[in-house]
Amino acid sequence: MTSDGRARWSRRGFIKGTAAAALAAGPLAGMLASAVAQTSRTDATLTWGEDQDYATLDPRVTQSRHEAQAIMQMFESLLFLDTDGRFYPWLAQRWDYSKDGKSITFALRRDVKFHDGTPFTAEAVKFTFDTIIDPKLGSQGAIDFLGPYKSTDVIDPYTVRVNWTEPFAAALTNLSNPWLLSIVSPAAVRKLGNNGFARNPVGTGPFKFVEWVPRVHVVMERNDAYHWAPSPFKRQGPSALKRVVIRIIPDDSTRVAALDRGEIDICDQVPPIEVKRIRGSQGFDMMIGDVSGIPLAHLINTQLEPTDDLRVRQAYMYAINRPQVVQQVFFGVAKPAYGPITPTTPGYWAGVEKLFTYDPAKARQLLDDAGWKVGPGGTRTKNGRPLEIHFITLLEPDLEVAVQAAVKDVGIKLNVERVTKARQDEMVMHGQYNIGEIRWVAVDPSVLDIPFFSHNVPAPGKFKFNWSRFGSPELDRMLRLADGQVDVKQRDKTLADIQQFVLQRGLMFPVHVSPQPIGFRRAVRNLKFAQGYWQVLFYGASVD
Amino acid sequence: MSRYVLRKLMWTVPVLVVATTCAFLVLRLIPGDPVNLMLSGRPASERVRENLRAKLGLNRPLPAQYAYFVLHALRGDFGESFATGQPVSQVIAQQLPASLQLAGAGFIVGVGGGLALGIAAGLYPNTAIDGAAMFLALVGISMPGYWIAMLLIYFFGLRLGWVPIVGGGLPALILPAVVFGSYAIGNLARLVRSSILDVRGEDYIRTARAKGLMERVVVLRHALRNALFPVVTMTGLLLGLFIGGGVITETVFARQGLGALLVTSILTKDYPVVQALLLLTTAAYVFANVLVDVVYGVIDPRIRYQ
Repeated sequence: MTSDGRARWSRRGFIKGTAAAALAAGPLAGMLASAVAQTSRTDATLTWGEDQDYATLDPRVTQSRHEAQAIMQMFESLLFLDTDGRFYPWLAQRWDYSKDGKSITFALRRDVKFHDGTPFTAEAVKFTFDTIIDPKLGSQGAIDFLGPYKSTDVIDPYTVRVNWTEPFAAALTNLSNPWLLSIVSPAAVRKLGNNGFARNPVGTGPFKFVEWVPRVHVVMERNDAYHWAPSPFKRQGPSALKRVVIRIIPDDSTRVAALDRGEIDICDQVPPIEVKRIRGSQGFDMMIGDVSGIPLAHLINTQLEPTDDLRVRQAYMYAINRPQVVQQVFFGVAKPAYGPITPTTPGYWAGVEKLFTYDPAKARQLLDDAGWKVGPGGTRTKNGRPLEIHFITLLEPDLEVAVQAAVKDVGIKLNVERVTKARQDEMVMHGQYNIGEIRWVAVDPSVLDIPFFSHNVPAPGKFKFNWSRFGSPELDRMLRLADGQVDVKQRDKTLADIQQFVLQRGLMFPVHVSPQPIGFRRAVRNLKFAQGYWQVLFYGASVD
Repeated sequence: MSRYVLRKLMWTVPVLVVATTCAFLVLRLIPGDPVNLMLSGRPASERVRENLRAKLGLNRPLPAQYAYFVLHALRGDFGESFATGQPVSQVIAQQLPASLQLAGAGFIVGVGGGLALGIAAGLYPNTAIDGAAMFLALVGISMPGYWIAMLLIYFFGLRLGWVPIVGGGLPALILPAVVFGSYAIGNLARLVRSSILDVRGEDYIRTARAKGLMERVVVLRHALRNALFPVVTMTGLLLGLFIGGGVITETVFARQGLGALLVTSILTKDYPVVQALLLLTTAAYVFANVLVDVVYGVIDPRIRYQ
């Protein structure tokens, strides 16, 4: 496991014997890597064009993957989960699961300091997690990532044990999250208060907070004391970048124009239609992340006519030629998705790729069997009623119009209604739709609980995401089982069953993997996607 | 005069009370739960929602929320933004300078440009000058702001590289000011042109010419002064628009500003921010109206207030 001098764990083997390998990790890898990338400038400013404004920079509070882009440059977590699916030591040098799977003990690095000069210790870990569950903080994301959290015990200044009330399979993945469960400086929080800290964040990361002007920018500068980078970076010591600026530019065209002009170095969320042009222009390049988690998917309401009929749901799924539709709308930037989690998500079951592939003949057969006969104008009817499916779209209206055209061929009339978030929430809570869209960026497959657990069926006053409104004890049992399966092999098996189940019952029709198309100046080197393929880590980057 | 102004200003109090009450109620009646919107579609647990509701004071009954709002508003305290937890006064103070800058620059461009085009067109009616000026006015009125903005960014920012696209400082204010002022340019130019055409035929203009006054004096002192009357009315209305009307300009040019803040806050139902901003906008409108009335008196000696 350590043959190349670098400690590596497959997430499949992390339970036993991580300790010895972990010891060899940091320094050795550092020496190997530090020789590589020290030739570039050390006075460069890197500017990232961001499409959404920020509300907080406190990792304990945020729920926004946009805010995460800034937060993860300044904060660090106990473990580093790389895009290769392996865990590496970070603020923790090694970790051990208890036998009952309800606790993990972490041995912490002893040489880490927060940006305010205070040392990083076990107390900081306990403080971070304990304050996250304090209702007064109003945590929007981290609190759910802690799962059935019970307590944190400080065993000695550099050893800490985190306890859960039940076995928690997502624990390691979640604790490796660099923007939700990253460790904050207790001294800074005590000094500034929660609101103050959200505007003057203090972490241990490679960049220190300098300034945040709302709706304009967040500025960070190099942390010169930094020397504890995780081994997947081809670098040790302080970053080559002197300053990092997150410039808020909400308008897509303006953001791309600013990249063309060189006012920013990196442009996030490049519109798909611009991707080819940018890739082809001199001095620019693109990187496209296949985002982990739930793809853009249609959740089909099993409680409202006509989609309460399994055959109608299945016909809908067979009627759409996903590769073609996705190509039409995304010009090759996005990949079709076949399962409820994307291929870059741990636990992905490749069997989904053979289910519900395009088969219009089968779709027509299913509709015939269900009693929907082709009527005037091509729309099918039954007992004088046309086969109309009410589709509410908030996320991707363009895509849904393409889908509308596709299902028309088999005689389904898809009524696509464009809604605001507020209206969508109302309709979802009252069950007034046949199909709605979701997508979610996530690194752990436990994200499947969100659209499929029976207690997540929406109700008036209760906005939840089980929009297929399908509650079954069997599905609940499988989901609960996967959530507690600390053994990855067993868990993957359960996850495969879940993925097959939800497709065959026609609960969800996955459409495409969310792309994160990032345009950048060629002079910028070594940008690295963080886990989940949405945010980009700047630490290892340099500018020629 | 001062009594008149005082009376006008006193009327602002009930107007503001009604406006804020409406804002308070309408915000809460339209569908959408602030907590859901704040989580922007994130599948958060019930625990997260409960905590947030308690933190934001949304678990109290509506009358209690209103009483709380009024009591604090009277002391000038509009609470804390749902989104950022900052005091609302601070949130607005952060955005206000940029809005004032844009409004000021847009006002100068709009009124200056509108007057110039209008005078030129009015003095030389049915000539090429008139045609060009009225064409520009038509563009200013009818083209959507974001379209003008994109064209300006493309030509002056990207192709010619004369001004920065999203940078800071004075050069970055030029394009936004033109976009923001374009509507006013169009409106004023047409108004001034027709006013000037109206007064040109009046007896006192002929008299002024007969006295042997220079054409410049005739135009500026006699014609324009009377032609200005409808312009002042229009300007007053535009002044109100300038406070909250910068949404598109602010968004396209990635600027700070109250307009974009207001729209985001409405969409996310950030009640405290919306309430304070509506109060501010209403106050600005009322104030602009009073100002217009006062200016009438200054430019037209026939108008005196009792």
